[in-house]
Amino acid sequence: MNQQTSPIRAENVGKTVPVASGSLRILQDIDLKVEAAETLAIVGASGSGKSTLLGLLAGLDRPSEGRIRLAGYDITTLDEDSRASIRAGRVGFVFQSFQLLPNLTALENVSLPLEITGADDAGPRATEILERVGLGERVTHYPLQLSGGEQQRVAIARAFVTRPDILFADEPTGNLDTENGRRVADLLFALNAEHGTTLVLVTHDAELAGRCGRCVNMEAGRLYSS
Amino acid sequence: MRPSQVLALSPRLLWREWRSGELSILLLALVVAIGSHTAIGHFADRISRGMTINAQHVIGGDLVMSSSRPFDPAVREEAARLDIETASTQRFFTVAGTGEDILLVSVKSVGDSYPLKGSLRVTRELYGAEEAVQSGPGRGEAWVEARVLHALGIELGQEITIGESGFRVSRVLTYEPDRGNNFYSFNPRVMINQADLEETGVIQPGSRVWYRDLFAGDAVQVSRFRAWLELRLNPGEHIRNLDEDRPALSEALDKAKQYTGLASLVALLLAAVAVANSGRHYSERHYDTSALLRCLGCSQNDILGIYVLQLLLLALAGGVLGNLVGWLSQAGLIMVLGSLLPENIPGIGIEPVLSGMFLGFVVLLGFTLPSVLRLRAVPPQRVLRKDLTPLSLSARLVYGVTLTLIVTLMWIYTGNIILTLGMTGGSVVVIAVVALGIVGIFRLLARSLPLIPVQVRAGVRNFLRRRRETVAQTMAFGLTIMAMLVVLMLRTELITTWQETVPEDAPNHFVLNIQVHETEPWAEFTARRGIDAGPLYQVVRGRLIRINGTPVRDHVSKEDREDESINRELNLTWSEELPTDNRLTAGRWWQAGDRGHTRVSVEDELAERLGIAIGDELTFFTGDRNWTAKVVSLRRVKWDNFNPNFYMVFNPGALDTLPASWIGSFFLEPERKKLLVDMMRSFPSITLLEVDAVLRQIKTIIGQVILAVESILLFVLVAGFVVTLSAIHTSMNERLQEGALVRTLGAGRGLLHINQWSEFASMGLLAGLIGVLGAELVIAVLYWRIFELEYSPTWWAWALVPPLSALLIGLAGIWSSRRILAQPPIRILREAGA
Repeated sequence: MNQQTSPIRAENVGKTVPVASGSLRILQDIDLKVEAAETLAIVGASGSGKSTLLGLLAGLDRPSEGRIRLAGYDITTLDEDSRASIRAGRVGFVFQSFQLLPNLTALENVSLPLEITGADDAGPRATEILERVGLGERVTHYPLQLSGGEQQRVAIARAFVTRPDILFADEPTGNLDTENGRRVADLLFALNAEHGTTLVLVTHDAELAGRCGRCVNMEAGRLYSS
Repeated sequence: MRPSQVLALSPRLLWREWRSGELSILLLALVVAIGSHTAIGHFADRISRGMTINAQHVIGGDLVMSSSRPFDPAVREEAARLDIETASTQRFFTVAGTGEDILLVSVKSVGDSYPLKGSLRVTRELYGAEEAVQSGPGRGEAWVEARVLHALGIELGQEITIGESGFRVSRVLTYEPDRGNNFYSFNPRVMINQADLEETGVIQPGSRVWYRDLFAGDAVQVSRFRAWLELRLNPGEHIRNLDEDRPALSEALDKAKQYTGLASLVALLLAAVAVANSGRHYSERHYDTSALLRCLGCSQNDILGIYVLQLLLLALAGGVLGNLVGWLSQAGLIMVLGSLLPENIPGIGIEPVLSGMFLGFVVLLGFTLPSVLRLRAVPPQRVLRKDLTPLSLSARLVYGVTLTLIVTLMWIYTGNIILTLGMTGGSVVVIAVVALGIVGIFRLLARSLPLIPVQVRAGVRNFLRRRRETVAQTMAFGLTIMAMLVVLMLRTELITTWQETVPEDAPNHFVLNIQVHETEPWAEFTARRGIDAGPLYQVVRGRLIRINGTPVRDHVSKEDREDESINRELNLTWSEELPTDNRLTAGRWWQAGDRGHTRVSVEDELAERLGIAIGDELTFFTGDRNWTAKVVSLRRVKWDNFNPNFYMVFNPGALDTLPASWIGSFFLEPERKKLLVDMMRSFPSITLLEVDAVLRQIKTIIGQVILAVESILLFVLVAGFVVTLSAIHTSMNERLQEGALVRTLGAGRGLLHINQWSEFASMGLLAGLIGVLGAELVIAVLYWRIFELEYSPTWWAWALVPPLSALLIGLAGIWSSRRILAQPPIRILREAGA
């Protein structure tokens, strides 16, 4: 990544989707710049377009208008495979629904991103980070054998194991109780600080948003600075 | 990702999935499909080869060549070059004498290697216990039929003379494998060693001798030899194999092979249904994984590579395991059936193994690739929005590819394009009709929902709500039922037809030369001893001498001059009705205007050989006079139906003034054979022919064919059953989740049971109807085009199958969803949430 430029930059981004009655504009006039190692919270009500914006910034989808740069690359015109190759090893994700593969153990889930990049030391590195998130004793457990909080900690370990430059988190505590939510958030910010990762976090939890360096508001598809 | 990374990651992910148990259904479907396919393949291949070997015993070799002249020595040289065994026989009519009596006999001299296939049967005392022997009489010995002993008034151990040589009669001959069918018109047999032939001095230049060489060897070499021979056949030389020599047996074997092909095909279609179903399920289960892998940086091609490689590995595993299961099943079956099967079953062939492996790859890739291709297109945003599914491929493309694949596979496996198109066409029509039918039924059900009892209404509503899945699943069940019904119905029809070929009580003895004054005593004799005797037929012995005034020998081509039918007396009979098993191929049967005239119906193959046409005048010589008859019809005769059959049948009254005798047949149990001694004493002038050995041989083969067909049906049923279970299993996740939810809302066990039951039973009922309809269509086409059987709707299937299918699929559904009741709902809901 070119360290001189912002790792994430959106210019005049909009998203329109076709619906039965014509088309629906779900995002419009989005301008956003996220600096390296910055932590940004995107907050807003359900249906305001937060997750759609996160998907666009991460290159999971393409905007209908405007330009997006990710890790120094203009991903607006790239096809999905090219965007995937930019994500590989550089971008990590944490999801509200954890997205752990049910047939893989905790260790295998965490090793997966390393295996995709062809790392030789996937096992030891995954074990190390699982120990770091407090699950050293549970590496052979399957997701179903773990509690919600533990599953999200596995997901965080998986997100950080490749030492990504950028981490996208979509409601990371949304499915957790207050206590577990706090623990997961602590872990997320601690690892973020350790690795100097750029963090973009979507949440409707004001407390979680408050722990970020900056906070922006989504309302009806538009972005407002807090 | 680099290809090497894909290669490393794909099996690792597959192994992890296998370990979690998620692959077992797909693999099970594949293993069962390949297993039943290869089991049928191996079993049918081995049994069929075994049966063919047995059947060849009936003609004494693989190939028979006959002529009225000695064969060119080059023939034997070529046979030797191709490692084909040869046995030669000579047959001629001559007189056997004892010094007091003489008898016209048919002598057969045989070499040491005769017979090449099958065995001769002899007894050491008159009507004693039979034994099978592999070679003919030794030098100086003669083996004779029982009637020779009766006619000449001698006993075993005494001597007869043939020409200038004397022979000690050492055995009674009861069966020779290559005797042929038209046994009752033959003169009694005397068999001698070929080495003694010359010394008898019977064969002189100009003598009429029929030479018959038997050949046996490796099938490829034999067919090569046959091709070689056909190019060099001299006029009057004929080659025949089983097909030509024993049409009924050959037909039974052919139909059994066609049936096997069809059963294989059905197993294949069941495989396709099962694998496509499990494949779709497999693919849908991987949407989340694919989306996640995409988020983590995998390209579309990486995803495709990973899953295609997994499919290849699965196909390999399924192929190996399926082959193993198939091999074990057929070996077990052959072991269990043991004594009922042909002797000397040949070893296992490589072909079913290879085709099983090939099948694994083709079926798995062909039928799951369309689903797996969708994985490539899973949008990565699915990690954020669960409702995003990949776009479907063009339905026309998917179905087009699948249909082409099925047709190609069917064609490869059956080698029969009509059968293939019949099955495919039938299935396509069924699917179209069913799709329309289902739409109608859905509308009807939706409308009549308020009328349905409240207890089962929820189940029916479920059935309606999951319309897409329900239609797919109902079709899958319907096609499975259809396939199984086709195999079942066809088997019933074929077996009935075969059993009719040789009924249990088919006559096993023929009597000739019953004189007019003996007919009543004969009836009394048989009735008193409880012998099951058939009607007597009046027979006139006559020789065909002219066709349209021209001597027969001048009328026919040079090579047909030696035809036995014009060189001996024929049995002529009359009949009011067209004899059973005869079919008119030209002309008409008797009319009122024929009374007072002499009309004849001629067997069609003889007519062709001798150039006889409708309207021709045939002149016969009987006793001391010539008389003529006009040909009014030609008939196809089933020579091997074990009833008296005739070349020439006349209209009633035509033979009244001619010297006649009677012929008949009867059935006698083997343990009552000694009665024949008594019979011959009471009727010394009759000629008795025993055909029970021939009959037994044919019955054995037919029995084996039936057994093979029954066993194959068993495989198909097992395959169908497992496929049905796997299909239910793949739809379970959603049902489990719903069931658990309903339970948390307070639904009781009873309600859930009724819900599940009514949903699956509705599906079963519909699938049963689809299955019967489809089977009727396919059967109608198959009967019409392939098996030449008469089609009539199978009412029992309409009455029985839909309710039975509702019951079984209902039970299977309840059994499969027992987890809803067995596990705490919270656990099921958590699993579903993950």
